[in-house]
Amino acid sequence: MPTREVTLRFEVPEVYRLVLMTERDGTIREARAEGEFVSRQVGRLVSDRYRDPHKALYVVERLCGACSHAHTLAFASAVERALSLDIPPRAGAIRTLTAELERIQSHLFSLSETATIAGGHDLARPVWAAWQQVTALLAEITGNRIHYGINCIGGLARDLSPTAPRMAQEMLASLGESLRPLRGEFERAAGRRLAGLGVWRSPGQELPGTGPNQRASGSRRDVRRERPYLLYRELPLAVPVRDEGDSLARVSVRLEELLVSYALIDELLASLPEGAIRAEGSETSTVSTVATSMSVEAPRGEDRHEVTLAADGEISSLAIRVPTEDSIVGLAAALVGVREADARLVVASFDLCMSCLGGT
Amino acid sequence: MAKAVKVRVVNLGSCNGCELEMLDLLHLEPGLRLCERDEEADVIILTGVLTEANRARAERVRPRSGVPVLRVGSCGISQGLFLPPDGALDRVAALGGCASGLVLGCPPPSTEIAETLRALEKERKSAHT
Repeated sequence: MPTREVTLRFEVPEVYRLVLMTERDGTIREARAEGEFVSRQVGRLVSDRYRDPHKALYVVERLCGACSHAHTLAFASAVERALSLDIPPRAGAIRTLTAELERIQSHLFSLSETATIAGGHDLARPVWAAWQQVTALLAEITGNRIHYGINCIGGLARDLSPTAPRMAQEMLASLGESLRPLRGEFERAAGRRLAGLGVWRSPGQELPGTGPNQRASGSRRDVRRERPYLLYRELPLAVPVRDEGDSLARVSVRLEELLVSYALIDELLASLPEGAIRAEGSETSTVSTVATSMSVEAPRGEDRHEVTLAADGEISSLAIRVPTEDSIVGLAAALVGVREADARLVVASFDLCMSCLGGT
Repeated sequence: MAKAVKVRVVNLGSCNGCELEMLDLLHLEPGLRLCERDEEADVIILTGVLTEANRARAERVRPRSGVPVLRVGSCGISQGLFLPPDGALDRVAALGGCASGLVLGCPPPSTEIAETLRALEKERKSAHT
């Protein structure tokens, strides 16, 4: 059957092209995403020009506007392993808190894209209102609503202001009111359109990587549970899983994760340990292990930073593996058989991050 | 902003931080609309580092005469931390020296982008009367 090539262009939120081979009736036979436009080669930039890990952190943060904390957390933790630095409990708690706030922020950003396409502005408006609330809360905790700049090698760059925990608790309570009705609103406005659309499955084989997309297709994998770090060693963590593998499952897993993160934040805020925010000797410690790595569960799945340090403590190499490397494979598979008119919706449900993917 | 103002965002390799603020801007200012072509745009916004892969796209940006070009964020202004030693952004023929306004920040808050857009709109109106 003759096919034709269709190119969908995206510029906001990110710049990439989706090339589809479609049949005459508009059914997609093959899909390919091209995202090389944002290639910033952060790994190379760090090993060439920002070799001091304290300086490199600023570039690493700018791998992604939506999950910069995940990147600085993985990077700083890998460097801290190399330097045998143990971060203080308060720093660990605030890093965990920021990671879960970032997950809510990123999921709401993703859900607002899906909402705009599937349900229009009436569905997108409350999602974005919640995004504005959680970014205000991030600013209260870290000082910034995007690129928080809270991590440093050895702990945190700054402590919370004395009034922040109380303010944050009040803001969290109203964020909760905004988050709770979202699931019902999505199901009412967009459930039928999302159900059965863009199924990602690989029968008999484990899906590659971790993240909400995989957990919407039956995988139970989550780095926070498999290889716990920070306070995930102690906190009880619910991991929502669905088996359908369709766009509705991907959206539902994110909607459920909003509430899981909310509960974790609530618990963390109520019991923040006191004390120092930076490990002693963060500036002066010497290299004990040359090559280290660290994986964290970023909002989109496993984010892994592999760092090699020279004897003088400067970085000689940085390799980053981002979750979109796995999800993009899923998207290409899920788009087969979907109608061209629904492609944008399936893309939104996969929440790819070309910025992360091209940034490495 | 009474009539819809059409904004064309040209992302030359952003981390999405500026784009998040831009999405926030669209919610704050319902009079703003995104558009995809230079010819329709009332204002053009540049974000992002100029990556090698984006050089050809940057050369193709053609604002209509009189349409302001706004550079948003450290990358869109000076390529920020990603500035190569030869400072490539100003060497793009189509964009060299092309800036009606700068919005500083990494990323700048949506409210500041809104303010600059309003100032540009006011300037444009007073130039017409």
